[in-house]
Amino acid sequence: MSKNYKLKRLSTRRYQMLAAILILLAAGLVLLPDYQKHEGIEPQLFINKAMSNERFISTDIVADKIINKDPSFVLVDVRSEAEFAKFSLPNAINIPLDKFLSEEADNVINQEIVDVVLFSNDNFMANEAWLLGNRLGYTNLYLMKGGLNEWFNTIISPKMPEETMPREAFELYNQRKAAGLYFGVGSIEVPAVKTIVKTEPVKTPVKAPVKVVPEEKKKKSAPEGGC
Amino acid sequence: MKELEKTKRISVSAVIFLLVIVIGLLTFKKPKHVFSTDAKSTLNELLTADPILTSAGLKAMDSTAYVLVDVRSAYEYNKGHLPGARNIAHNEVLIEDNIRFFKNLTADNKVAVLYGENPNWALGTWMTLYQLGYTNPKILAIETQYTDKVFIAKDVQIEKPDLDYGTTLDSLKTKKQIPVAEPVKVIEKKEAPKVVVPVEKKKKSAPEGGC
Repeated sequence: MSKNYKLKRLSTRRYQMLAAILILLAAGLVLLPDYQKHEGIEPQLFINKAMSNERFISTDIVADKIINKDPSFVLVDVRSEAEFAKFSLPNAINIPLDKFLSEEADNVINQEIVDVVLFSNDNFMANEAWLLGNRLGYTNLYLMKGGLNEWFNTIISPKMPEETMPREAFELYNQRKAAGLYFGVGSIEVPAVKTIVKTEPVKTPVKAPVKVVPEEKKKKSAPEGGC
Repeated sequence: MKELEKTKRISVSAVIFLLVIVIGLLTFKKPKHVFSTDAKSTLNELLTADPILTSAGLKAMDSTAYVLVDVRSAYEYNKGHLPGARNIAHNEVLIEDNIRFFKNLTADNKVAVLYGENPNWALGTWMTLYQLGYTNPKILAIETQYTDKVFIAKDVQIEKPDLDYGTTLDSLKTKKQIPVAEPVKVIEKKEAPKVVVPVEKKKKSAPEGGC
C-alpha cells in the first residue's frame, strides 16, 4: 500500500515538473526576437527582378497590340493628370505615380491574367512604379521601353532608314508608317499628277456673225367655233 | 505495473515534445536582410525628396561628402568608370562587405552617389538600399557608355518630354493631300462677240372668231 502511494506521489510530481518545464519554454518563446516580417518579396528576389530585362516591351509591340485590339493587356499612364489630359495612348488608364499604391489603383495593377504595361515620358517614372509594384509581389507588370519619347520617335515620326541599311530596317519603317496612320498621323502620299496645258498662239477666230433666225411659229388656227 | 507503463509513456512523449521544441529553436532562421521601409513610404520619399542628383549638383558638393558607386558589373567597370568610383554591382549589394560599406557611409553621413548605364539601373539599387533602411544614396543623372575604347558619361534629363505631345500630334494629324495640278499657263481664248440680229416678231393676228 505504501509503495503504491509513493509511486502515485512521484507520478503527480512528475506531471507538475513537466508542466513547469513547458511553462518555462512557453515563456522563453516570448523572449525570442521579433520575427521581422516585411511586406512583399525578399531583398534578394527584389534585386534579381530589378536586374532583369524582361520587363521591357518595345513600342512596336505595344502599337501592334493596340491596333489588333489585343484584350490581354492594359496600358497604364503613370504621369500626372494634367499631362494625361493633354495626350496619352489610346485606351490608356491614368494612375499618377502618387496614387499608384492606392486601393483603386490596386484593382487595375494587381492582375494575374491581364498584362499591365506601364509608361511615362521616358522609363524613369514608370520604372519607379514597376519596382514598387514588384516589391509588393505584383506579377504581370511590364514597361513600355523608352516611354512616350520613344513612342514618338518610332511610331509617330519614324526615321527614314538610310539606303545602306538592311531590308528589315525598311520593312520596320513601313510597318511603323502604317501604324502611324492608324494613330492618325502621317500622310497618305499620292503622287501629284501635273497636267500641262499646252499654250498655242492665240488665233483670233474669224467667225461669221451668227444670224439667229427664229423659226416662224405656225399660226395657231383660229378656233373654229365661236359663241 | 499498469501505473509504471503509464509514466513511461508520459516521459517518452515529453522527451519527444522537448526535442521538437529544441530542434525548432536551433533551426530558427532569422532572415539576414529585411526590408525595413515599406512600399508606401518609399513612394513618398520618391515623390517628396527627389533622389536624383545632377552632375552640376555633384560638382557643387564637397568631394569628401560623397562616394561614387558604380552599380554596373565588374566587367563593365573595369573597362571604364568615373574617377574615384567604387564598384558595387547591383546584384552584389547584399554581400556583407558592401552592406558594411553602406552602413559606414550612413554613419559618416556621406552620400553614396549611384550611377549605372542609365539612371534606370541605378534606381533599382537605390530602391533596394532605401528599402533596407539606408537613406543616404542618391542617383546621378548620367548615361554611361563605352564606345571606341573610351568611357563616355553624359548628362540626361529624366522624365522630360522630347516634344509637347498634344500640340505636336495635332500638327501631325493626317491631312489627305489631294494633289492639285497646276496648269502651267492658261490663256483665255477670246471669241468674237456674237452678233445677234433681232428679228421682229410678227404681230399676232387678231383672233378671227369672236363674239
